[in-house]
Amino acid sequence: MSAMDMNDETLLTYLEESREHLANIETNLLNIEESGADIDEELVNTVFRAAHSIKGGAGFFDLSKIRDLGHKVENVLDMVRSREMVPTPEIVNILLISFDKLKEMVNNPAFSNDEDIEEFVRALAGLTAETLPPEKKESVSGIVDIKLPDGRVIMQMNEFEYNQTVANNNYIYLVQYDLIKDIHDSDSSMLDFHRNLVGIGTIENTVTDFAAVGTLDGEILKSIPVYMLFSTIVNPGKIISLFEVDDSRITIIHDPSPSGEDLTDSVEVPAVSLPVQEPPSPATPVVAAPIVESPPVVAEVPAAVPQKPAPVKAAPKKTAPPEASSTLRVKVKLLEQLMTLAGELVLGRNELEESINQEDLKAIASGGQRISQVTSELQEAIMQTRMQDIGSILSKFPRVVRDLSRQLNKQMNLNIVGKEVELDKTLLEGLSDPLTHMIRNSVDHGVELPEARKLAGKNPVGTIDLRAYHEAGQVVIEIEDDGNGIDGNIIAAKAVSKGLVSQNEVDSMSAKAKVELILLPGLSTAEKVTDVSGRGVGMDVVRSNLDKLGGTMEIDSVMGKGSVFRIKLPLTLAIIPSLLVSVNKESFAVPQLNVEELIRIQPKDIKDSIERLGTSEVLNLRGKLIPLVFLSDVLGIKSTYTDPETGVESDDKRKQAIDRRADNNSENDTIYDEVRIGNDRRYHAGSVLNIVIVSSGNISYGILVDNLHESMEIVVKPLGRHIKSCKEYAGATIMGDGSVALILDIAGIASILKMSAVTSTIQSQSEDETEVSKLGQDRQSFLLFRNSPEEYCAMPLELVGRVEHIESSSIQIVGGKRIMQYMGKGLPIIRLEDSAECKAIPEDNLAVIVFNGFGREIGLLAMRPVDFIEDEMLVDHTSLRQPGIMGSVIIDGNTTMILDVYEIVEKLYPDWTRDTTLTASGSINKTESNGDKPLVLVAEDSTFFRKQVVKYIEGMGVDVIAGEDGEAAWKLLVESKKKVDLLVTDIEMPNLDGYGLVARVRADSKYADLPVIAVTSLAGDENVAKGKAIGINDYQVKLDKEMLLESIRKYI
Amino acid sequence: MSESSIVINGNRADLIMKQDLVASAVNDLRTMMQDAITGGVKNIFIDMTGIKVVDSMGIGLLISTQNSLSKEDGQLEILNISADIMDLFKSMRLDQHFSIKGE
Repeated sequence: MSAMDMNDETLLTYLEESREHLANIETNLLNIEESGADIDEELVNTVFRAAHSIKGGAGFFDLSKIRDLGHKVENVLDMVRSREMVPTPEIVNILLISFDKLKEMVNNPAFSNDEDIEEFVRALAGLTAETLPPEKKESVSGIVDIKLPDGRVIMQMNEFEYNQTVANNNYIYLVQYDLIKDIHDSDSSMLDFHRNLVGIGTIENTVTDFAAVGTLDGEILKSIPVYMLFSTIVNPGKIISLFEVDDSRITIIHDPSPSGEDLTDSVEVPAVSLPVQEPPSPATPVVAAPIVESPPVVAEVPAAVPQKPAPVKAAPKKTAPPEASSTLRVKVKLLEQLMTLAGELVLGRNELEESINQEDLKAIASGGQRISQVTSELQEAIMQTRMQDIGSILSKFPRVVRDLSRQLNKQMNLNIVGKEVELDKTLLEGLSDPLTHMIRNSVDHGVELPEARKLAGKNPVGTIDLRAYHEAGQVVIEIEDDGNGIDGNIIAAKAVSKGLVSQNEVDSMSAKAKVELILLPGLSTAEKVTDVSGRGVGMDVVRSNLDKLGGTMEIDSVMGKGSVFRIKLPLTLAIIPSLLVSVNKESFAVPQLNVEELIRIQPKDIKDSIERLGTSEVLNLRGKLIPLVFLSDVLGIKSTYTDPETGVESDDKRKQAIDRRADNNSENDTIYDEVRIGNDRRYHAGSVLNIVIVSSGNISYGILVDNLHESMEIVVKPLGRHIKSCKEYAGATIMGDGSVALILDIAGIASILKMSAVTSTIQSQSEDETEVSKLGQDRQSFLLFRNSPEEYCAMPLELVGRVEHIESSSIQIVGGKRIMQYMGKGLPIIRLEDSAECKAIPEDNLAVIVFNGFGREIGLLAMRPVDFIEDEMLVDHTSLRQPGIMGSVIIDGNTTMILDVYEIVEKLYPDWTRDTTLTASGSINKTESNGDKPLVLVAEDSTFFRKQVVKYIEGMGVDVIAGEDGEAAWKLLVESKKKVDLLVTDIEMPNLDGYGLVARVRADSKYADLPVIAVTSLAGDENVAKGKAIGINDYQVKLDKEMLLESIRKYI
Repeated sequence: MSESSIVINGNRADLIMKQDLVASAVNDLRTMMQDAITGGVKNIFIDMTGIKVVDSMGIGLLISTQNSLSKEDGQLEILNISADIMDLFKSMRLDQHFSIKGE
């Protein structure tokens, strides 16, 4: 007898098939559990058949434990199938762990017979016993008498077991043999004999005639008579040779053949239910013996018998890692396609060979083309074979979530979307662990306990969404939970306390960056390390695993709401169709998936199609407004343009699409419009605008490029390590000529530009300007900086002249005032703390913001980093109000103080403001005849802008009165004791807007020739015309200080 | 082969098996048992630690030992049996004849 031959092909096939069976069982069982009493017979049948096959095969190969466990599982499933048992969660649980054990054993067949399956068997048997219907329940304790031919009852058998055995078409034999006479005397080994028996059937019961053995005195060991009740499908003829006894000693108790009889009597005697029979398992595995018709090999007793069977308990229980499957499932259709392509390739080659022989150039060209075509298709098809559904690794998660949440007493649902998304096989394998870790994290740390959730007003049942989808040549996998979110500050604090990052770095981090600190090695904020998610080695390992696959991870989290973990993987070796565009001779690829339309705008149409919205431009596309961006701006490339006439390249001076290319002077259009150059398609002098309308999700925008090129299929290559974090690019590709083109990430660009779906789908209605202009209102650009690590500050960008980085040593104190050497002059330096109660600005990381005021340049001391933002502001003018601070606004979750630098200067240099004859540029020499200063009336509803304008004008040394809308301004005008010399008004105001106010002013003879300057965010042609018609003298853009002051000077 | 040794304490005997429980050892063991019982031992404990092989003769010995002890109202107990041997004994219902404990 040799050990189980692991190389035996039939064995390997059996194992492979068993694995396949087991692969789907988990999902099926979970579905069965869900259906509960509404039993899906088909489903149960599937699982039953799986168990049956596994059990059957195991018997052949002497995998006794596998067989036994399979058998018990089969019993339970049979009862479910016949609706005798309702698959409750407890029952399904037992089935699940039993199948787990089976899987374990199938993956380690050589050691499977050493496994202890006692508890599983007991649990399963317990189920069957409990759930039997009453009539069958009796059979559990019922007894069947087994009789000798002479009628004596020699033993009894459990009725239930008996019925089961009979139902499986076994013969049941009663064999009488003698251990000494039949076995020992013929030199058989006890253990071998035993093993052989067990290999082909089940020992149901044995009765040993102990008395007949005798005592130690007397003639001992002459005979040990044994009666054995043995069930097997082996027929009588073979049994005789097995036992090597003559047929008189074999009684057929049950013959399954149609004419056979059954010699038992069922006795209804309530008795203690017999322990479930466990056939003994051999110590060493035996050779596979196909059972059916061939004579049992086991009858032959080998001469050499191992004296010491392989140690069972001595060796440590070895669990070899489950073999990574070295096979692949491929759709038959794909294989057929490959076959076809191979055929095409052969034909193409033949054709080419022939053409080469004939030296027929034309035929060679076409042959080459054909080969090229087939090669592409072949390549693609072969790549497809490696693509597997992501569902294969996602399908285990329902179980993981179920088990884990039970363990933690939490309730949650797992939703999986996108199982059909395909990924390269190697990527899949590498993803499995990271995903498992992250799912476990969500269950363990993310979602709260049901009570906590209820208190927070959430559904006690948590939800985890697992999504997979394609986007821009990448596969995105998201794990989103509606738990309590990740507190970036706690993470940051932990990271600092572990010395992984410095406090300084943390301070300049955004909220998101702090949350992403969780990816650092050595970080674990769980109070106790639960073995559920493991130690803090977790997330960083996930990230490094992802790195190896060329992927990235993002984390978005909102406290109290939940978190989203987003993994992006390149579809390496993916081929995607894309559009090639170029900017400054550099080529870029836009995935076809994202391309909506291509637009080409002739110069003469530009004015109609493109409008300015605040400081951005939008394209009017059939009534829809699409934001426009210059690709060159987004990517930081210098845009150049080649003069079609001279072929000379120069920098594209356009600041806006509306501008003409070569010249900012709009009158010169006409010259260029008419020029036509041969067959150069760009005959409109390169002033044609090439726009690619792209979309990603529900965000659409237009990208302005220099040129549009062809559409082609490209092979996506992952980005190198250095540029992988660039959101603008999704990958790269190699062009036909060997050069590299970067693939644009449309969604990434949208996020960089902070685009949101709302702004991009605004409908324009030409009459309804108010809607559009409302967006422009109160849009203000601010320079952002800090006074101290915790104090965020902002000041209007228009005021800023320059920003310089300096060392604290450059600042000197002269006469009690700070001063810095700057551009050959002394620059007065002011700090917020000079006028307001705030923290002291630290010594390092300094910057100086240079601005103009009171006729000189002044520098405001600030902390780096210095940033800028443009946004609609909801300025709070009341809280935080102090000299030097005009209000506050929330930016990025931080309360930001808006500094009024003039107030700071006033505090520090009170004598400057009295010097009214000095202004920023030039001086006002005009004084009123009565020696008073001129008086300006300002009408502006936005407090912020109103104060700004008032400040500027006052800075000129002029008196100002201001009203918050047309009515208020009118009132001030009428009631003013002093004559008003100039009206500076906003257009968009409640109660009485700018037009209304001006109309009223003009209508009143008293003020008919009062000069009016309108300050507004839109200065389109129509507005200007309308304004001029009403009598507005000048239009100024909000809030161009210099121009405004110039204009004011003109009119005073 | 090392000798199995028997230790007698009043009416209890402990036998530490140092050899396989097979035909070749049976004679010596039989003698040991008989002597012990004659000497008044009622309960015999056989420690089978490390013993891997048992044959029919060995089994016969155990059975007859129990039979002899039963006559004196005594009991045989086998300890530390290996898993395979346990399986075998159970299938033969030997555990219903005398007490068997596994490792």
